[in-house]
Amino acid sequence: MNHGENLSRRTFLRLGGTAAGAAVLAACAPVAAPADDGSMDEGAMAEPVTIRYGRHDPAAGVAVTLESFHEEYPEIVVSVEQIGEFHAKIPALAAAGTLPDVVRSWEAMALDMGRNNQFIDVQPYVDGEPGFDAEDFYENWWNYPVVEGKRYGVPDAAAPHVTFYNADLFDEAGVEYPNKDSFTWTDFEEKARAISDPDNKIWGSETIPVGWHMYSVKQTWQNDGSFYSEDFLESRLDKEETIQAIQFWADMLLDGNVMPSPSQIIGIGGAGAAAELLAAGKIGMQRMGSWITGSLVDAGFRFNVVAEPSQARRDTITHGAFNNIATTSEHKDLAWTWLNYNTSTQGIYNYASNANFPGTRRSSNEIEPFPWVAEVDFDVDWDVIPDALTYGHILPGPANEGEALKLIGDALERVYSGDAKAADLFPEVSPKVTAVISDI
Amino acid sequence: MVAYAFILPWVIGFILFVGGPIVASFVLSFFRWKMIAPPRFYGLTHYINMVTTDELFRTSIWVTFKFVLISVPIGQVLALILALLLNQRIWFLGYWRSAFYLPAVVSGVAGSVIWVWMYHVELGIVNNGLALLGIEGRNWLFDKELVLGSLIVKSLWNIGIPMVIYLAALQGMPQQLYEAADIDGAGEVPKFLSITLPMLSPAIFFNVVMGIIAAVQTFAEPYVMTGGGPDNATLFLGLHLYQNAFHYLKMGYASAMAWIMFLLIFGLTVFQFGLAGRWVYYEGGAR
Repeated sequence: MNHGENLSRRTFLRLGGTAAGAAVLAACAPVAAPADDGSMDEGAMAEPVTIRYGRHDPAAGVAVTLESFHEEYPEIVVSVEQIGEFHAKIPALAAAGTLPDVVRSWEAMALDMGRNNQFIDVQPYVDGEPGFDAEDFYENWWNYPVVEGKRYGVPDAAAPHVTFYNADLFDEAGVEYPNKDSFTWTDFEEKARAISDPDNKIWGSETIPVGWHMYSVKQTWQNDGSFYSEDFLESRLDKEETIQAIQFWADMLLDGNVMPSPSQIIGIGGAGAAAELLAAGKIGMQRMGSWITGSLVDAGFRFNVVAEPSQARRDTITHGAFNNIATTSEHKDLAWTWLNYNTSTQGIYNYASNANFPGTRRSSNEIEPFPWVAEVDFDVDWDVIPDALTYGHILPGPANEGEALKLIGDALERVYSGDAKAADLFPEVSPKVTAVISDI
Repeated sequence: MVAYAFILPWVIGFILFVGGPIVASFVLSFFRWKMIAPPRFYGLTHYINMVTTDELFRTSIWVTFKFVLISVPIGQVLALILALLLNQRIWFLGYWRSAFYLPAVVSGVAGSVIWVWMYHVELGIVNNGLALLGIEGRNWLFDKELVLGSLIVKSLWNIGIPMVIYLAALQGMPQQLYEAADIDGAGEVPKFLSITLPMLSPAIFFNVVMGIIAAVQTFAEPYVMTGGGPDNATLFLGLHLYQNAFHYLKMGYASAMAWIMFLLIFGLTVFQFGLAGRWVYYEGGAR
C-alpha cells in the first residue's frame, strides 16, 4: 500500500484547510449592496428580459395585471416568485445579493430595507414619469416610505380595520346599532355587554388576538397613545394614554361578559375558532380588516360596518404593502416599468378587487364595482371602509421590529392574561424597546 | 491518490456545508450582522451581553436545563424497560418492536403537529381519553404551568432509538454469567442489578450522552407546538437562538449563542466522560 506517493496526508490536509479557509472567508464576506446611483439602463432590449417579482402570496390578485402588462410590454417577462417565510427569507436574499428585481414588502420591512440601502430611491423614476399623479395617492400612504428624502416604494392596496356587526344579533338583544357618527369605547362596551350571554357562548365582541401584537396598537392610537414616537426612534409604551388604553381592553377581555376571555376561548376551541365567531353568528361586533367581508356574505345574517370605536380620537390600523426595486437589480428601468404599471389606477384596482381592499389611489376607489363591496340583499354602509384610509394610521415601521415586538408582545401577553398590570409593566419595558428601535 | 479522490466529495461537502459554516459562525460571533447591512466588528460584546443583559437567554438556559434534567432520565428508564420487555419471547414480537421504534423515524415537525392535535383542548385524544375516565381535560400547551411537562411527555415519543440500542446490548449479553448466577441461586432482581445493569452500562452511557446532546438542542417541538410560549415557558435555547437569527436578524448574536450552546454540550459531555470511569463497565477493560 503506497497511496501517499503523489499526495501526502499532510498535503491533503493543507489543501483541505486552504479550501475550508476560502469557504469561510467567502461565507463571512458581506455582500455589499451596490451603490444606489439611480442609474437607468438604456432603452428597450431586443430579447425579452425577465423581471423577478417577489411577493409573500401566490399573486392571484395581479394575474389580470400581469396578462395585460405582457400584452403591452412583450419585451418584459415578469416572473412572480412566491416567497414563503417572507420575514426571514427577504433579508437572507438581500445578504446573498439575490433579491428579486421588484419586491412587494410590508411597512416595517420597506423602511428597514430602504434604510440599509437594499431598495433604491424611486423618486427619480416618479419625477421622470410623464403624467404621474402623486396626489392621487392618500397622503399618509404616499409619504410613508420616505426616509431622509428618499422614497423606497410605491403603495398598492391597504386594508383598514373597521367594526363589523351582526345586525340580527343586535335586534335579538334589543340593542341599538352603533351610531355611524359617534361610536365610542363606552358605547362599544355597553352594547357588547348587553348582547353577551356567555352561558350560551354568545358575546357582544370579538376577543383580542393576544398573539397579534399590532392589533393592540390601534387601541393605543384611539386613546391618543402609541407604541412608538412618530419617527419610530422612541418607545411610547410608558405614556399614560398607552397604558390606559391597553389596560382598558385587557380588563374587558378578562371580564368575560363582553368578549371571550382567555379561559372562555379554551371552551370554544381555541384562538382559531375564536377568530371565526362573527361568521358563525356567535358575536355581535368584530373590529377587523376589511378582508373578512368575503366570509360574511354567506354567513346567513345581516351585517353592517361602522368605524372602530374611538376614545380620544377616531383612528384605526390600515395595513398594506409597498412595491420596491432592489438595489441589486440589473434592470432597474424595466423593474420600474412593471412597478409603475402594477401600481397604476387599474393595477391597484385589479389587486384590490381580489382582496376586498380599497386601493391607496383615490382613482382606483372610484372604479365600479367597488373592491370592498360585496353583493348582499341588505343595506351596508360600505363607504365606511375607504373612509378609514383618510384618518387611519399605517402600521408602524421601527428598525429591528422583530425584537421590539417580542418585548412588547411578552408584556401584552402578561397584561391580557391578568398576570400583570400595564401600569406596572410598561414603564419597565419601554426603555428596553427604545434601546432596540433606536439601534439603527 | 485514488483513495483521496473517493473521499473528496465528502470532504468538499463537509468543508462547504459543515466545516465552513462552523468557522464562519465563530467569526460572525464577534461581529454585529443583521444580514441587510455589512457586518461590523463587535469584539466580545455579544458574549458579554448574553450574560449581563439578555434576560431571555437566562430564561432559555433554565427552560433547557429543566427539560434535560427531567426528560433524559425518564426517557432512558422507559427505553430500558421497553427493551427488557421486548427482549422476552412474546407474541407479535416483531410488530411490537416496530411499533415502538416507528415514531423515531417520523420527523420532528410532523411528530409535533400530531401532538398538537393530540393535546387539542376540545378535539384532542388526550383530553377525550381523560374524559372517559371522568377526569377534566387541561389546556396542555397554553397553560404555562403544564406546557413544559407536555413537551417532556412528547419527547418520550422518541424513546425507540435508545430502546433499540438497549435491546441490541441485551441480546449481546454473555449467557454464562446468568447461568453462573442461577447455579449460585441468585434471583431475578440480583441478576438484573449485578449482571444486566453493569453489562449494559456502556450502552446506558452512550444513550445518556446522546440523549443530553439531543435534549439541549431541542428546537422543532417548541417551534411548532408553542412558539416558545406561553410567557416564554418553553423558550428553549435553540428556539431563542433561531429567533435571534431569523426574527430579529441578529446573526452575530445568534452565532455567539450557538457557540455557547456548543460549549455547554461539550462541557456536559466531558463531565460525563469524567464520571464514566466510576460506573461504566467495559468487558475486558478496567472498571
